[in-house]
Amino acid sequence: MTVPTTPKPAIPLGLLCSTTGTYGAVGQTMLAGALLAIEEIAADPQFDFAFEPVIANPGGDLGQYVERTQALLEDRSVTHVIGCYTSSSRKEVVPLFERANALLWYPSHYEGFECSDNVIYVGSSPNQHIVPLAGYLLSVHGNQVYTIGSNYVWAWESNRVMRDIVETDGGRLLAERYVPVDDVDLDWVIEEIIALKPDFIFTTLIGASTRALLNRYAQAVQRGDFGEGPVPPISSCNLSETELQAVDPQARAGHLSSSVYFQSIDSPANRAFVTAYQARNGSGSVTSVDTESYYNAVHLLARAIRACGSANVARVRDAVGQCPFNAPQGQVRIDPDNYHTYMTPRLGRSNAAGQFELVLSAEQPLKPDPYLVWFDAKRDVRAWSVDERHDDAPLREVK
Amino acid sequence: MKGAAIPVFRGRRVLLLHKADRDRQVLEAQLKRLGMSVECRDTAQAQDWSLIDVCFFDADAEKRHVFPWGSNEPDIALIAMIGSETPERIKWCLASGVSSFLVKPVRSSGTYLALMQVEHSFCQRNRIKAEMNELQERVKSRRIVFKALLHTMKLFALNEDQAFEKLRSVSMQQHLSIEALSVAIVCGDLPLTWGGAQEQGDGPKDRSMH
Repeated sequence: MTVPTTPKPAIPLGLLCSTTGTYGAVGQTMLAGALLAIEEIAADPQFDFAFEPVIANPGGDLGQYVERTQALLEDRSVTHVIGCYTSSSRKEVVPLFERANALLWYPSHYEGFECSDNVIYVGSSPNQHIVPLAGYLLSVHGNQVYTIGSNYVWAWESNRVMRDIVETDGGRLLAERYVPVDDVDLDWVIEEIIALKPDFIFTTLIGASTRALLNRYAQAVQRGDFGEGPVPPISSCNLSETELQAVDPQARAGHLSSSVYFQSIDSPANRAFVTAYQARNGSGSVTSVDTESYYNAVHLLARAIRACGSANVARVRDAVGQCPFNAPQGQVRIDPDNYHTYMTPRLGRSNAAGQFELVLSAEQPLKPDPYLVWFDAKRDVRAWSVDERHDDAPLREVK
Repeated sequence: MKGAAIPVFRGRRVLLLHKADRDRQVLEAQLKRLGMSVECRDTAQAQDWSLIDVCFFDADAEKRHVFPWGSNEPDIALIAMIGSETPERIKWCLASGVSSFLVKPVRSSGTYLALMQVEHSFCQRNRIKAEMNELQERVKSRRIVFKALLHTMKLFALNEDQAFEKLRSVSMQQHLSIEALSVAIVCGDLPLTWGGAQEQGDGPKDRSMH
């Protein structure tokens, strides 16, 4: 006779993911990453509880983010929600979390300059994404820059930092262009890039606009619109494997991305993660920084609950700083000074398969600096340049 | 090369005048995240004001804070933490020369905004104050300039425009403002010659053109 196993007590966990809408493809991989982690916690005897996923899909619509959050917090009495992708969606819902004294686990890289007591910031901060990217690009490609972004705070603030770094280096932004979220009519952008001949392009476009830019750009290159001159590389802090899968095959290679995670990271933890993800979601599915981040958020929350013995918001917040997690990217841990995350910055160049080949990687997780308090435009940028390597630079050159 | 445009509050010194409660705790934590050094006091003693860059104070305190400068033009930037948005409180704060407000209950958001606003408005106010002082000095010295002009017209038999042009060119040679040059001429410290000013002794008189 087998003893029936007692089901573990379930803790409701909100998953606020836009699995449809302009960035629906990214949302689907986020949700899949969270669900994988929820299954792992349920199966792991080291945890005497399981999470019960309560899924809400705002479809990328800001108004829906508010409604779905209210439903999660009020109707379903959920106190922990992993969710949001864009900063505009986060800013819509943070006041609701503060009022309900619930906790939002925000898993996306973002522009910083925020630190709510009711948010745990699991994505990377500006010192972990834009600073490494700018340092590398200035040292390799030059300091005449073309920027194009989706018209909201992620692009505005990222471009402000990029401008500061570039102008400190004696260079300049040749143009700073914004288009509405979801805009795909970007032929004029390609024409302007060809006319201005920048050293590199920095894009903060998201979703469908990213795909349109990469496709149109590849078409212009194939037509020979750049003539004999060099083709400026496209760089981004939010270009992932998921989006590369959705662009034309000839538009995938040669772009530079700054990210704390790439599917190509060669480590036992990441191989196990990718294997488990593909077993669950299909052998052709890809993982990205957004997948990993939602996955990490579940594991960090689970470890904090285990450490303090409760899902109580205040107790979890107090405990989470002492609960590191060996994530696919390497160790991640929450900084109790600002509730952002120690993460490992990396730069990767995309290939024709839509994967990233590592170019540079930090040696160890970097303390988050969401307000760029400790940022020094000269010192920190130079640390990421390839031609001025210092013995004390916290880097490992991969290629 | 351009100076850093990112406002960095790292290392700035804050005096936080508020009773020890949640609002003070939240604000202190947020200021420390911004790299600032924070002194918390219920009320300020005279010695607390030295070496302070910015002061947050409780605008709802039963006993109103008394600032050491005794005017509505504070020597350091003031940010009022305010819970009662009543006209009397707001007017009193504005009359005390505050540069920004922080609405209570204090959250982590809003602090950076208040500091940025102070950075802009307090610095702008100081710049305007300095410009006004300079203009007032100029207005005051108009009589002296007029005297020096008359002296120059008489000495070299010039009309007013020619005399002013001469004063202007000598002031440039001497690296002096027109006002300072006029004082020197009227006091007889700097005899003028056709070529410029005569070389005599020490001080500004040294710097005549050769």
